[in-house]
Amino acid sequence: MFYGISKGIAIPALALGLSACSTYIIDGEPVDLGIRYAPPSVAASTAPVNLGPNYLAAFRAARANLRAAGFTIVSANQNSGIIKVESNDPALIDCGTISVGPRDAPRRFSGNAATSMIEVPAGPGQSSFIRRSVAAYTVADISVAAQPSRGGGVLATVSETQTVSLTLTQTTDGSEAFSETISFSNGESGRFSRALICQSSGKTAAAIAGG
Amino acid sequence: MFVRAFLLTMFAGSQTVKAQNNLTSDEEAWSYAVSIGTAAAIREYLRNFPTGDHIEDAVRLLLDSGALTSTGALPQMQTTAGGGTRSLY
Repeated sequence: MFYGISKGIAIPALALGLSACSTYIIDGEPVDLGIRYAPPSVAASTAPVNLGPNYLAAFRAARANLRAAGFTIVSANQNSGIIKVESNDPALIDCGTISVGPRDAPRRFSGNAATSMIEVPAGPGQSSFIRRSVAAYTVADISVAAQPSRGGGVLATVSETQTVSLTLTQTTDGSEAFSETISFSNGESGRFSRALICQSSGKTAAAIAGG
Repeated sequence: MFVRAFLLTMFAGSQTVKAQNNLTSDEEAWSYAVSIGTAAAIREYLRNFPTGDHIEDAVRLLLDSGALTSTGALPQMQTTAGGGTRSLY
């Protein structure tokens, strides 16, 4: 694909030494509108978090750390050791990395970015921008329990379900070009209907320990 | 005549790109784009800072100036997951 028309002048692609099919003439100069995607490279960890030897101190610390990290504490039962939390923080999911522009000088941003603008071709000599919006919702049950078989340490185990919505809208008229919602749990990854893959970033577990 | 005008446009555009590429902060790049005040400069800001603090302002400026009129094709991307080109969703 190559649109070589700019201000009424046809510009042969080869004359400019352009070979990439993602190069377009916009505002009178060649612009690489290439987009590349790298999925999450590390599998989400489901390993328990060690909170030290004292159950009561561990439970209270976990609850305080989660609150400090921005989670909403839905319930916290000291007797059962279950803390239920929820959050809309997109940082709790990892959707890989998106690179835009030329390969030798790409601009990268996280696939979980709440809002981004992606330049796309819109006809000869023109481009437009698509608004890409990501919304995330995480619910997690954190089970805090002493583990006599592991030397008496207190471990926190995360069981989380995450829901991610991706919406693409035209900036010109606000029309929705695409919208899809996926869910995944506990170390699994979720895939949108084509390519985008999301999984837990592991930050819920990190937050329990105050990380 | 046409060639001269084209070259001037290319030269001016290239200077804008080079200047913006030297600006590392979102705020600096936005201030620079606004000071230049052309659609090309605003587009360049959006290219360099696709998640920047001023992306909505930038789009609004392009829309208000009539520089953004066509709806765009859904973005296509190269992905390392299975290779090939796929739609960005």
